[in-house]
Amino acid sequence: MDVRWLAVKLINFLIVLVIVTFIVAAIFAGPLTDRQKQAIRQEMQQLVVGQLRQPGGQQYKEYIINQYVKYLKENNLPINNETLEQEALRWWIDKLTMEEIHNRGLDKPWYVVASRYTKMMLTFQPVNSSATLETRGFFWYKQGDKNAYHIILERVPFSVLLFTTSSALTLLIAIPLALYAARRPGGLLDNTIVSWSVFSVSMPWWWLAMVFIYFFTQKYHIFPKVTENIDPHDIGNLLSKAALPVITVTVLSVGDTAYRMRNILLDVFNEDFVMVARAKGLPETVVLRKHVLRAAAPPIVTIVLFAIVLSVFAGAIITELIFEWPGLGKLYWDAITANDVAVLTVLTYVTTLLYLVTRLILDILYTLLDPRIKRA
Amino acid sequence: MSTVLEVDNLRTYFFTLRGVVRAVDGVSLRLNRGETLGIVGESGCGKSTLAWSLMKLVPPPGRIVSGTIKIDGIDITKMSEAEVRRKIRWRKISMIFQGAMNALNPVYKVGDQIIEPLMYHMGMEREQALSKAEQLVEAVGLPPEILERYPHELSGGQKQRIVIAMAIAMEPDIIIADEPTTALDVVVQAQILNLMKRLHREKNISIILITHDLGVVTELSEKIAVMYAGKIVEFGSAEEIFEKPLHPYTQALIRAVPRLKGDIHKLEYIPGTPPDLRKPPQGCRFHPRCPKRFEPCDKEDPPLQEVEKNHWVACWLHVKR
Amino acid sequence: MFDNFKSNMRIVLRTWSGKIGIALLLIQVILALYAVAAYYPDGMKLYEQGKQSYYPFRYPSTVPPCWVVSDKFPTETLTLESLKENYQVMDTIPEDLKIVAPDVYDLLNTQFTPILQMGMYKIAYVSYDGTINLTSQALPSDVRLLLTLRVPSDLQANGTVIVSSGWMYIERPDGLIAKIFYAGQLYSQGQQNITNIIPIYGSVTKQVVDGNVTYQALPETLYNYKNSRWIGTTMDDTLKTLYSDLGLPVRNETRFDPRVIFATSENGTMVGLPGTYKVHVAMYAIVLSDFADKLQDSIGIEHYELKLMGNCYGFFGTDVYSRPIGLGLLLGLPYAFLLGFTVTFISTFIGAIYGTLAGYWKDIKGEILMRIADVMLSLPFLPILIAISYAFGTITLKSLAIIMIALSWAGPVIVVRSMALQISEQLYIEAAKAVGVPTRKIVFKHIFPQIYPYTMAIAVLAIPGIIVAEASLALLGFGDPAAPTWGKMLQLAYNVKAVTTGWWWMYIFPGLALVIFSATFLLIGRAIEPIVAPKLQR
Repeated sequence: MDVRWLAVKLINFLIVLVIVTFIVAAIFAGPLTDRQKQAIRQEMQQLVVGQLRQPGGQQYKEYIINQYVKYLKENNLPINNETLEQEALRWWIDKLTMEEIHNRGLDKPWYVVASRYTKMMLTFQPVNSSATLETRGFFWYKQGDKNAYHIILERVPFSVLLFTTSSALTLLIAIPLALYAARRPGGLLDNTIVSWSVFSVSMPWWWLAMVFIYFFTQKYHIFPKVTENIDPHDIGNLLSKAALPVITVTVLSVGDTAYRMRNILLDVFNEDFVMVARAKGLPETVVLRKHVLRAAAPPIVTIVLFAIVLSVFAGAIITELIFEWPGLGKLYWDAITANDVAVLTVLTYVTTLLYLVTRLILDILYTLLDPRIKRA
Repeated sequence: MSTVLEVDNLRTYFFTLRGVVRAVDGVSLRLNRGETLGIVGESGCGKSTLAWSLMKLVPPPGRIVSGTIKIDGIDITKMSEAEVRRKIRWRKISMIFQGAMNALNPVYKVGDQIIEPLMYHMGMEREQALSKAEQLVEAVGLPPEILERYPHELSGGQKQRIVIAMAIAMEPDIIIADEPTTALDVVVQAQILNLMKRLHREKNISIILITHDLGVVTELSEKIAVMYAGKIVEFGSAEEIFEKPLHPYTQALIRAVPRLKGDIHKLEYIPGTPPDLRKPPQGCRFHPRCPKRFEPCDKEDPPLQEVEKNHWVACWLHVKR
Repeated sequence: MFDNFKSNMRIVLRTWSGKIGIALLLIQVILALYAVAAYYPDGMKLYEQGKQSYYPFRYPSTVPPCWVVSDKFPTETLTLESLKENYQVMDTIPEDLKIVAPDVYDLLNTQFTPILQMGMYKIAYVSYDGTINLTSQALPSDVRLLLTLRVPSDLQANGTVIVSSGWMYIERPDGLIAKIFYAGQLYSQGQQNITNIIPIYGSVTKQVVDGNVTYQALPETLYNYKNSRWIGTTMDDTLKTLYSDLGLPVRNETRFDPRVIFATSENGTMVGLPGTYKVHVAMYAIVLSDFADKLQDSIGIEHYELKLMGNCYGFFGTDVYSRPIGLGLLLGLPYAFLLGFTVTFISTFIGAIYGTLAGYWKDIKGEILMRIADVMLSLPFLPILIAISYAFGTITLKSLAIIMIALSWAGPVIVVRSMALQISEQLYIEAAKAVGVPTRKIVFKHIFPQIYPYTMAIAVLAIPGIIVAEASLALLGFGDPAAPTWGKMLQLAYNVKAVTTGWWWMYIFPGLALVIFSATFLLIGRAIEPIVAPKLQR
């Protein structure tokens, strides 16, 4: 492979990554900063209260009151002796908070703050959960870790298991279906594929997930009940829990995947070189495998695989939630319900990063598959 | 001279949702070894379908309905698909395709595509097949390095030569050339035709040339069959057809070709359009456009009769009663 | 252009997908227009806001569609109009409460009487004796007491608190006596009449007096509503005993099921006990106000009724707020049209013009435009949408549309650009440039008109994605609080765990509506696409 071509691709990828990360940072800059300001205030409050309790606290209190009185006099404000002490303390904590906010640069314009967050994300600086979320002790992480990256990373294998399995199954099922349908356009199977693709694209994936759960775990007890108690070390348990989600996602993505493939294959089947291959006396299986599928591979990679990736990013988030499947999508829900900005921010960043990387890989794959694209 | 191809009363229909398209409707042909036959006709007259039928490769929803196709005396319509594939295709009969641009698979190197039948049919090793392929591309006047190239890196003429090299790879008895020179510029057209002439001479291969271009046919063919609406309306040697065309359609077709030599007359065209092959007109299929139609034309189909030695025509004007 | 449209339409109608799509579209347009004409804006507002009071009076709660119920119980009202004049304004706690809920009676007496004597409370009280006839084994889904109070005009301005309660004393045909306590709370917010449904709360106690088994509600419900918390959801042992006494399988449900009042068992399943039920119903309303003593007669019970709610409703059933699902489907339709069309057509239009310019400018300008579009295409749609919704907090449908447009306009840019590239290489464009036709004119007069039919197909095909995205956001709780969308119906179903409780009609129908709506545009789009698709060279 051409090294220069790859370098250009990678540089382009990095530039896009920086911009996209900045956009994510800008979206969350407001809520993140608010949350930090709240945290600073709490910190200051604890600090002041702690100091007041220590020996010499009385002097400290008097100092604060004196400062407050001085401030009131300077600004010609009335002094209310009844509530003076409380007011003084609040004023003092506010003052310390403002100073700390200024010191940490949180009062800068949004783009400065967003740039700082961008840098933090790009360098994967550890961020702690801003609410109650913590690791759940899956795999190599101990329970109770508050690092947002760890919280996210321990969920990744679940999503990967669910969506790579169903994507692989989808391709495995869709390719023969599409081949068959493309050879008999307008036939029963072809019409079924076309109709099913219409329905599967029209419906929210998680809605069918709800329907399937009702049918297969409530009405007919074919699959185990959907609960969140998943033990990744118990393979049997894990797989039995994964069965219904995998089936649902596969059933959903197979329709559209087969439809898109069929369209591509239909074009390829009409190409002269397929007839040539047949005329050469090659057996039909060789014609299909060597000529049709291979020639259809580049568009299949771009259009079909990309569609699967897109649908995973769109459909997965909530499908996991419905199945109580503890992957990245479920974490979205957990972070939203826990109002955990830090985790949500990092999660959005990681999702976007994964999305970009997938796009890059598909792009490279496409270029490798199609000799017509010049690698320059 | 031995007969290498004998087609008898061949009918190939397409069974579409909107009716049966009678693309080839009762065609009979005879081709001797080493002979070249040109099949001419307007587009949509069933020429290409005839070509596909000869390889037993009619694309669905079409299929051969009746008739026989004998290659070296063996009727391929009776053979199983696997047998045709192993014994006939590319071994006995190969094809140069209409629009050679798309006849090569864009994702494979040219060499791989030439050696494919060699490896599959003759069981050659890759190395062996490649050296054979080198000879083949040299035979069509291309350097052997071209085998390492992808189709999109070649010019139109080069691609057409590759397609020809591919067609002669197995040294078949018959090559069907379906519009081999359309979409090429004139100079390249001439080169390709010369190449085909040379190969024909050297290898003694029968060529069936399918084209709408009368000029190309005269270059290459000894015999000519004129097709109209799924039927052969006139059949004879090239000189006969050109000098003494008998069927009004052939006459009109020849008048529609511009000439450099001879009288400068106004270029003529054939009024009307070719018939819808789902509902061909009754009687002679040309009668609605025929300037010389008379009594029996719209009633009954004229039979293909030998009016002179080796000159057959299907027209009521020439029917001997 | 119109001829073009007509001939295109004819081609679309020739395909089966086009036929079905256009038919579905027409039906939905008519339904949407009807929904707007009949329900905009009051009906739609009512649908969102009236779930606590308007709908529960009229429809049973969480009942399935009637076509799945073999033994139907029609909603039956016992309007007790004759007692309208019969109410009394009292200064003391009604005595018959003592029988039904002695604990409540004691509590009210000890805690409320002092305040009552200060004149800050008035009690309006009414009672009724009568019979209910059940003719078949069909069971009502609920037994509700409805109460409409007339609020004195001088109280209307100050948010007067009105506490209302009721009780029922039912003697069943089999001799069992059930005593049921109801509790409710009303706030007058300036209305002249307030109507309240008094729901049943609480568990039931069992008493055996002289061989008669009686069941009665526990008074703890009152403690609960004092904390303004509606609890009464503890399934305690007494309730379990009630079930087993009636021969019903003891379920682990935590909600008191009012059906047991009329139930008996047949082979372990709950069926109605036909016959005549003697009922004693009593209701009171306590009005809290500083000058309640000056209001002698003006507080009054306007109307009250006892309602046995049906066990099914219509073709689609009802949700937990008693709202008919069918109405929700109808009201969601205009919103689906509005959001789907606005977002896709505006964003595709922007993308089409942008892509045309990017294709027309072959210099650095075009390159910059493509870089920007590339960045936009690198944003995963739903995660970013969730992020923005989260940052905004609650989001209205209008701002949601704007955000969606901002995120999706780049979709058609790449295809449009390659089309524009090809078109702008045509001779007539070169000629136009050569004679000095301004860029704006070339782009809008020559290039764009050739591109826009195709982009319209793109827009139509994008509608499902937008609708599904809205539903997904709504499910996560980011729906517009004021707009009754299908996504919010699904959210409600998810929130009340309709999947595990078996209330399938709450999510099957909204989901189906969404699927049909989306499929309509997919079918039409796929029928249009081949007609308007440009013949792009490979």
